[in-house]
Amino acid sequence: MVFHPRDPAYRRSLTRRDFLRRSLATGVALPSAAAILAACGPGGPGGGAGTGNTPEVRFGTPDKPVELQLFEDNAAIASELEPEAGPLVIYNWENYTWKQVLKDFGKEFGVEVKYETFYNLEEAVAKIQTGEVTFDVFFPTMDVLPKLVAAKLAQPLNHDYIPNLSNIWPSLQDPFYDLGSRYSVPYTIYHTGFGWRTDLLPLEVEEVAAMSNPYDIFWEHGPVGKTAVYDVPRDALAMAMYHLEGSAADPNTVDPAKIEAAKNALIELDDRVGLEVNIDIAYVQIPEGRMALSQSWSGDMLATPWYAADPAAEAGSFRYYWPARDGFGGVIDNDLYAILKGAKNPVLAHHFLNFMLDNFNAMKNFSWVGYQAPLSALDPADVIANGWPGLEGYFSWEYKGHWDNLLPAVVTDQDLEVATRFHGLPLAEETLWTNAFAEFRAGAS
Amino acid sequence: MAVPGIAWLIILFILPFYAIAAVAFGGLDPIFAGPAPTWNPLEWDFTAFRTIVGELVSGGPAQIFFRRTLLYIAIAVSISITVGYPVAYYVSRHGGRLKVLLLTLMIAPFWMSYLMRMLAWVNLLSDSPETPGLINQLLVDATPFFDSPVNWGAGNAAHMTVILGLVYGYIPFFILPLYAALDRIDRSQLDAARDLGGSPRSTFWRVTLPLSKQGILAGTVIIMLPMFGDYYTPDLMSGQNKTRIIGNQINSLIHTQGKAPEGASLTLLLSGFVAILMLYYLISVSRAAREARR
Amino acid sequence: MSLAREVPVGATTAIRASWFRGFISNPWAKPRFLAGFTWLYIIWSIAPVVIAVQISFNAGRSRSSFQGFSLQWYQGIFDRASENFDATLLAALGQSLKLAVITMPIATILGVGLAIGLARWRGRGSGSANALMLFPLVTPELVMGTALFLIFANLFDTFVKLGTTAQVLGHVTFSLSYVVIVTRGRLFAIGREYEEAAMDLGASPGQALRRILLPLLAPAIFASLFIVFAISIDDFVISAFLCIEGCTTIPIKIYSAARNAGNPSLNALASIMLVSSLMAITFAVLILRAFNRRQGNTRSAVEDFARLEI
Repeated sequence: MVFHPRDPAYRRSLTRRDFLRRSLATGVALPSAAAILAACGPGGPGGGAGTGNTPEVRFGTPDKPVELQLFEDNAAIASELEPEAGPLVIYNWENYTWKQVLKDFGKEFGVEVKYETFYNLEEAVAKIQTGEVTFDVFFPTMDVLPKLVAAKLAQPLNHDYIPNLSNIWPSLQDPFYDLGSRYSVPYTIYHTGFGWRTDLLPLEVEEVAAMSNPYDIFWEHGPVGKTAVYDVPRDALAMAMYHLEGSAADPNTVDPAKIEAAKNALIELDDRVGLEVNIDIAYVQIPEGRMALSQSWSGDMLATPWYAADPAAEAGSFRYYWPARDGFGGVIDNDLYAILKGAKNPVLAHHFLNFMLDNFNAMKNFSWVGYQAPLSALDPADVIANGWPGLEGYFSWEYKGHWDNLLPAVVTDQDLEVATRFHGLPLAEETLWTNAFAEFRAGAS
Repeated sequence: MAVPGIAWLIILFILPFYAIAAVAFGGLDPIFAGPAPTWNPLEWDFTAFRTIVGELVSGGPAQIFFRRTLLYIAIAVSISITVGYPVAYYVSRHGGRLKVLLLTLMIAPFWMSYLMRMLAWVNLLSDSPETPGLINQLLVDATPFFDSPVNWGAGNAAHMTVILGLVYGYIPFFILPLYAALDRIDRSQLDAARDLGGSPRSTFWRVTLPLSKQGILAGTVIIMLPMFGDYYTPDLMSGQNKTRIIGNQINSLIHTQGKAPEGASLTLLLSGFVAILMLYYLISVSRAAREARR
Repeated sequence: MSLAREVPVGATTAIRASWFRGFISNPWAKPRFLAGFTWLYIIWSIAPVVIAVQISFNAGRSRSSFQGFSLQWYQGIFDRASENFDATLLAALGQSLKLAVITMPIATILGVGLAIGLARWRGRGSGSANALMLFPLVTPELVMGTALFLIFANLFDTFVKLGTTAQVLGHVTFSLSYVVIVTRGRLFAIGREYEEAAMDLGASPGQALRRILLPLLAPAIFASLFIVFAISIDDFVISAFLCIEGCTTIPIKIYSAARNAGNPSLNALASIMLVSSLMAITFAVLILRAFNRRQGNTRSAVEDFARLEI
């Protein structure tokens, strides 16, 4: 290779000894890099709580309700503070709160409200754990809440700011997973049944109710390529359990044999009809006609007329059924509000919770989201049939006439008496469910 | 001159792989069972890695996904080559005055979001009774073979839908390098072949095709390797279990509590596999370059 | 040998038969089949783009059927008073553009430097540096996204927070390889003679670089800028993994809407991006054409661009 005298490579080629000397120096420097890494240790900057001082995660059950622990270094805010200037940041599922209601709150308190979304609860929790978020209000499920509490990521609530708490069903003011509502307030309540459209699956609710086990509808009538279950391990496997064992099934079981049987039932169904496994199956894919029969949370099905291309024509063919009412067993669940420890606007967040627990605002949210808050003053069936004073003109109520066949999707407090509640499981037991579901999700081929 | 770039790649490309290893061989955080990376190699724990290797060997989920991914990619790449080669050939050899127009049209899909184009396909294939997509409208109205809309997401059609989705998304990345290679073929070599008595067909088979081999290889590598990490295409085109590929599995493992080390282990194995393919390509390229220089 | 022969009487049938035989034996000779095939491909390729744009003007809310023409979704992006107004759409548009605009110069400068350095590298290690440069091209984005998330969440969290900065860093890492490849093609075409001539005439290497090589590289640099732009605005995986709040980009919005209920407002966003990308590429081609003309190169700039021989 001929180098031009001015080419730096020419000069470089004469200094191989320099190169060797320099690389030796790097070699010396490397061990110190290893020392730095060692100092990071197994806990690491992002790691867990180190050796043995982990606060316990308290999962309550309806038989053994639980008080979530309070920590000294995670105290609630003082009372009678002035609300901050905002903006208030809500971190929620997509399409789970009506923006109109957020705007109303913003107007009342003169603040801006931002709505950040996630589509995966674990991802959301992972982001919260990094500590780099400034979300104010979060919407966990009841099995995530105790973990947030143990990790001191949620702050205790100061009930002085939330007088509307008394609007809630008495049974939910003191829920088994959070006695005294120390950290959470119920957001929505829903049961897990199934929905279908009669133009693609011509069955009426009475016929389904007359079956020996209505959950069999999936295995006996599920159309090929148009049947769906939720992409949620507990919900999907629990439904298979109800199909196999009827009302005796325990959706919180930790018996590996039962979980295995449920998994096999789902796999068998999948082989035959090619199940769609997703989150939007009920409120998007049924109205779009892509699915005929789908597992459905009650709120999802109630929202379907809004998502249909031609609600007037199609909403009449949507149906919902929750087998527990007729004694076949079923699950009720509720989502929660929690205020994150890192919230920049905790006072505003408390006011937001109170605002959303107001009867009118909750009904306004319900009218768009389809998921109802468990409020005593509400008779949702009456509301759906007759409207709610002051809510005329909101577009969901335009579909008043189209909701009659979806009345079963309304949750009443009597439903709580026949339902089984999901409750959170410790990691080892939860892993049984997630492993089984992962095998189901691998597909049979 | 290269130092800033190299340094950047080392810090932001090589080091992150170490982070994956730290998670794959690390622990779990005690509350959320999320990944707790272990940075010190002396404290690495290989259980998750062994589990995944065990699955690969014994037919567990990892093996199912791996086999399915390889199958999908093999079919998708074959279709891409079969469709892409004639198109690239036509544009480079017979493009003529329309060449610029054709090239622009071929580059055009790049400028709309990949996800949007996939979503458009989902809507095109829709078989909803009230709002059937264009494809079903054409099939039902314009041809006598179909009475009702076809459900492209059902049964075996779901596999083809996802594979076609992969082809659709990546084929422009195959055609363009291939076009570049074909265009660079010296016309005089082809003329010489014809002069020596070759028919158009034998000229193609014995001159053009071998000369374009490097282009085919380059295009194949460019589309095949990213397909291994694709998870949003099956997600968008079909929500079924049987069309999920290894990207879906990695994504799902990493986001499931307690499973992040397994997800990271699977990622490492996948990267290793891809690296081997990549090395094969690099070696063959340098061999070809050496031959060309001779 | 003369190719002109006397055609005997009654040979028209023979000629037609031989044409037919020729067609059968080598259908590829006539480019009509290939032409048809190519146009079919182009229609298949462009149809979804056209449909997506059409739906963006949908008067109804459906994403699959066109229910009439309306500008409501575009209004929903820009017009505060419209009932479809969604502030997050404009925010996503802004974020996508912001990321692209910040990534472009960084990736281009680093990448051009890397390309020049690699081309001039004589020592050992050039092979592995070359391989290192090519790796991001073929690493699945899922792998890079997870890895970068873990790094930023755990190791670098004191220096760099997840969010826009992390997204920019991720985008640059991903785009570097493309810049290098584009620049390298041009470097090989230029060769070393100009720099060496300049140095013969007394220029220092740095001056030769600045005043000779870089201007010669200008078309490649421009092309790189636009390629990085295109990559950055369409990137989904890395942006999604490195985003916590306030950094949602358009692809993230589209993906999350696909898993929930979307409405045509995303089609409108994507159409806006399509038009702006088209404008960017047209701009790039025009500049390339100006360069070509100045250098007396009569080839079409689009062809050069497609062949990456800019």
